Amino acid sequence: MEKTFTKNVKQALNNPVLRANYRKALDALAEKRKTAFADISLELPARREAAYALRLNSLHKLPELLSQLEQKLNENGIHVHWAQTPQEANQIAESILRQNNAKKIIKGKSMITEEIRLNDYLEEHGFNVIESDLGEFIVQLAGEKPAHIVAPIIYKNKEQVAKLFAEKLNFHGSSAEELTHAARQFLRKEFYSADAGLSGVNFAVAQTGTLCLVENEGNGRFCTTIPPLHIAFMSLEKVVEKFSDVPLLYSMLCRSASGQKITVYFNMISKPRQKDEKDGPQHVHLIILDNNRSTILSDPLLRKTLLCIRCGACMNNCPVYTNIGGHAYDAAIPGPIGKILMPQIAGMEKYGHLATASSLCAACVEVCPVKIPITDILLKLRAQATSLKNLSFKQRLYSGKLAEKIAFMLWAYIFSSPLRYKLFLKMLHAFPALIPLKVRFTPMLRQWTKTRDFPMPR
Amino acid sequence: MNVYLYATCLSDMLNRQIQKSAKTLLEKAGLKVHVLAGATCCGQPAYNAGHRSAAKKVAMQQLSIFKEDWPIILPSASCAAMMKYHYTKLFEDEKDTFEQVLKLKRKVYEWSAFYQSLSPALIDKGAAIKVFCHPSCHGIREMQQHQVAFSLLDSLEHVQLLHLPHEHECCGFGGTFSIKHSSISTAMADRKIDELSKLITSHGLSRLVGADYSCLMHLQGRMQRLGINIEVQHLACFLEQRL
Amino acid sequence: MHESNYKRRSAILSRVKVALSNLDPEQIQTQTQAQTSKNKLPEQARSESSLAASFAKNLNQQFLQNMTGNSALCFECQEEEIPALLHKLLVQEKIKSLVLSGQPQVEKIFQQTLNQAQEDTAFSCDFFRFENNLEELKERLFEVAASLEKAHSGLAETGSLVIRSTKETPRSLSLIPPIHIVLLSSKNIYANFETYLSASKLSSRSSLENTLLISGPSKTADIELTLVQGIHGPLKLIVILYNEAKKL
Repeated sequence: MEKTFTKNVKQALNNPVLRANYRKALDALAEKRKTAFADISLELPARREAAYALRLNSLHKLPELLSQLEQKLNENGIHVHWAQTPQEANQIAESILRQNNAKKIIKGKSMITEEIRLNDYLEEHGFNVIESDLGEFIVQLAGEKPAHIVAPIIYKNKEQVAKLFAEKLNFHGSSAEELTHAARQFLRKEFYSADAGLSGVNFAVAQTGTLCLVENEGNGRFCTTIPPLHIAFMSLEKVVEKFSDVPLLYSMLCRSASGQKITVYFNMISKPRQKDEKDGPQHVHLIILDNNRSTILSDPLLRKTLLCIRCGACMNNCPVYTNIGGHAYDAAIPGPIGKILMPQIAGMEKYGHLATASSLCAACVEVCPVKIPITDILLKLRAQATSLKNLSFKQRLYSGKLAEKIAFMLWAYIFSSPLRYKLFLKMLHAFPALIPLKVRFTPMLRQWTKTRDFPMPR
Repeated sequence: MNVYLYATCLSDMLNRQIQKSAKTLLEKAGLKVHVLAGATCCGQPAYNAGHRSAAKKVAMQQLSIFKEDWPIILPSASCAAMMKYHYTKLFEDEKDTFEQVLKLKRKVYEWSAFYQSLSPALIDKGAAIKVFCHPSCHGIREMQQHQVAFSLLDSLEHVQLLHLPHEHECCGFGGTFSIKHSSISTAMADRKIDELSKLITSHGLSRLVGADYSCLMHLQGRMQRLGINIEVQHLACFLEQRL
Repeated sequence: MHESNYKRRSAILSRVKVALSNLDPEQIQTQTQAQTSKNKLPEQARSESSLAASFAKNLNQQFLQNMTGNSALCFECQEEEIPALLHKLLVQEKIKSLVLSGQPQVEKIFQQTLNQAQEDTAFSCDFFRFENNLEELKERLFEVAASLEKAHSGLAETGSLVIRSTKETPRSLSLIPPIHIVLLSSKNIYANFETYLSASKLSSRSSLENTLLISGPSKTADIELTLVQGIHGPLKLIVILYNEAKKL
C-alpha cells in the first residue's frame, strides 16, 4: 500500500546508520560487478545480447519446455506439482511434508518462498522451519524480512549481528569470522537432524530434467543432500531449453550478483538417491508456481519482466534503493525488478505505487545482464495505472488520480497549441511576482517547494 | 547548412538564455539556425507520468512543425531522447504517425554532440575556473554522449573539469517523481550535493554546468534552499561566455 | 490430489499458451533475431573464451592459478609422489580421521600412504570408506576431519572441480567433512564449463547423474560483505593435481 510505503520511506530516510550501511555495501557490490566484467568488457555487449536472446527464447517456448521438463523429471524420479497461486503452492508443500512425516525443515535461500510466504504458512501449520543461508538465518533470528535478494542482511552491520547472536544464541563474539563460525556450529546440528530440505531453483533444464542451484555457502547442498526429503520451488519462467544454455546464464549471474567469476558451488540436481547410491534424498519434489505469470506473458513488453535471473545488480546500482533500502518496498522482491514484478504478480492495488517511485534514470537497465527494459515496463505500468475505469468516485478523488489527470489535460490543452502556449509564457513572464502565490496554492508544486526553492523565470 | 533549434519548454519558461546561447554558438560555427516557432514541449512530462493521451496530443503538435528536412537540435538530452527513442513507443499503435516518427528519429540531435561535431574553435577567453559538469541520465544512458560535454570543457584552456565519485548517479529529478516522491528525490539530490560541497570546500569548485537544464534546476533549487551558493549554468551559456 | 494436480497443470499450461499467442510483428521479428543471435552470439562469446584458453600455454597452470585464487590449497605432483605428499599433508593439517571414497584408485593410494607412513611412529589416522548408506554413517561423517576422493575433471578458466555423484563418490563426501582433499589427473582438465559440456556430451545426454562444480572452500560475505572462508561446507579445500604415471 502506498501509505505504508510513504511511512517506510520516511523512516528509512531518517535513519543515518541504515543509510550508511546500504551505501557502503551497495557501492562495494557495484564495484565488484564492474571488476568482474573487466576481463571480458569487450565481449560484454555480445554476452548480454546472447543471454537476453536465450531467456526470451525460453519464454517463447514455455509450454513445450515446461512439458518437457516435467517429463524428464518424472523419468528421473522427481515428482512435479503445479500451483496456480501461493496458497496452492503452500498447501502442496504441506501435504508432501505430512505424507513424509516431516516436522523439522531446513531451508536454503529462495526468493520464491518469500513470494508465497511459505515460512509463515508452515509455522502456522505446526512445522519447524529453519533458514540456513547465513543472511537468511540472521533475518529469521531477528524476526525480520530479507532486504535484498542476494545479500539479505545488507542493512545490518556486524555490531548489530553480534548483539543479536548474544541475545538469541548466547554467543559472544564480534568479528564477521567469529559470528559466521558460530552460525556454522549451530546449523550443523539442524542439518543433521532435519526431516526435509527446501530449496529454490536457479535454472531448470528442460532437455535433461536438471535443477541447477547456485550458491557459495554449501547450505543449499546440505538442504538438498542430507534430509531424506527435498522439495524444490520454482516459478514457471525458470526453465531453460538446453544444458548448453546454462554456462552463459550462470556466468552472467555470478558476475552480476556478487562480482565472482564463479560461485563456490554449482549443484546440478537430476535424481533422487539411486539404488546403488549411498546418499541423497530418497524423495525429490518440484513445485512449479504460476502466480499470475501466465497473465504477464500475454503482453510482449511486460513479458520481459520474466527474463530476470535474480542477480540483484539492478538494486545494487539503483539510487532509490540505495537511499530507502530494501524493507521500504514491503515486497518479496524489492528494487527496480520488484517495482515491475510486484505490481504484476500481486496486483496494482497493492503495489502500483512502486512503479511511480523511480526517476527513470535507467541505471538498472544499464547493468541488467539479460537486458530487461525496466524503464519501458515502468512506463507501461504507469500508463495502465492512470486509468480511472475501475475506481469509484471516492477513490478517484482520494487517490489524487483524478486531479492528476485533469492537470495533465489542462497541460495538454495549453501545450498542444502554439498560440495558447505563447499566451501562457506571456503571463508567466509578465507577473513573476504572482508565482510564489501560485506555488502556495498548487498542491503539486508545494511538494517541490517543501525541500527546494522554486526556479524563478529569467 | 540549415538547422532547426528546438528551444524546449523549460528554456522557454525558466531560462531563455539557454536557447540564445545555443543559437549563437551554432551560428558562430557557421550554421543557419532556425528557432522553431511552433515548438512547445516534447511531451515527456505526461509520457513519463503515464498520461499517454495527453503526451500524444502535445507530441502530435511537435510533429507538425518540422517543414524542412533539416537536423533538429535540442539543448537537452532528455528531450532529445524523448523524440529519438520514445516517440516510436508512444505511437507504436498508430501506423501513419509511426512512419512519421521513424523519419523524425534520424534527424534528432542533442545540442552538445552536434556542436562538437562541427569542430568549433574553442579558444578560451575566460578566467581560470574549476567546474563540475553533471552528466544527465538521459545523456549517459539514452543518448550515450555525456562524454562530449566533458571533452568540450577539457579543451578549454582555463577550465579545470572536476569529477565526483558517484557522478553517474541520478540527481533525483525525474519529472513528476520529484513531486510524487519528493523526499526520495530530495535525498538523491542531497547525495549529489554532499559530494559537490566537498569539491567546493576542498578543491575550490565554483560552477556547476550541464547539458540538461532539468537536472540543474533541481540541484539549484535544493542548493539554494540549503544555502549553498554556487553558480549553475547550462553548458551552452557557459561556453558562450568564454568563447 | 493427483487429479487436481493434472487440472492445475492443464490450466496453467493453457493460460501460458494463450498468453504467448499474443505476438505483435515486432515480437516475431525479435523472436527470429533471438534464434539467430542465440546460435551466433553464444558461439562467438564461447569461441573467444576458448580461444583465449587455447592460447594459455598450459591449462594446468591456469587451473592451479585460478583454483588458488578461489582459496583452495593446491599442489602439483607426479602420480607416484601422491602418497608421500598425502602423508605430509595429513601430518601438517593434523588430520586424525579420514573418510575415503569408494574409488579403487583412492583406496590404493591411501594404502600406499599408510605403508609409507609406517616408519613415522607419531603418525596415526583413523579412516573408513563411504560404503554404507548415509543414515548408518551420519554420526561418523559429521565427526570425521577430512574426506578424500578423486574428481572427475577440472575447469581451468574458473578454477573448478567437476564431481559427479556415483555409488563410489557419494554427494556428501565433498560436503560434510571440514577438510576436503581432492585428487585430479591433469589429463582431465578442460578449458571451461562449455568445453567440458561439449566434450563430455553432457549437454546432449538426455539424463545425467547429479553433478557438482566446486570452486573453493565454502564461503560467505553476508556480514558486512566481509569474506569469511568456511561456512557450511568444507572450511578447507585441498587439491592435488597429478600427472599420471606413464604406463610401461
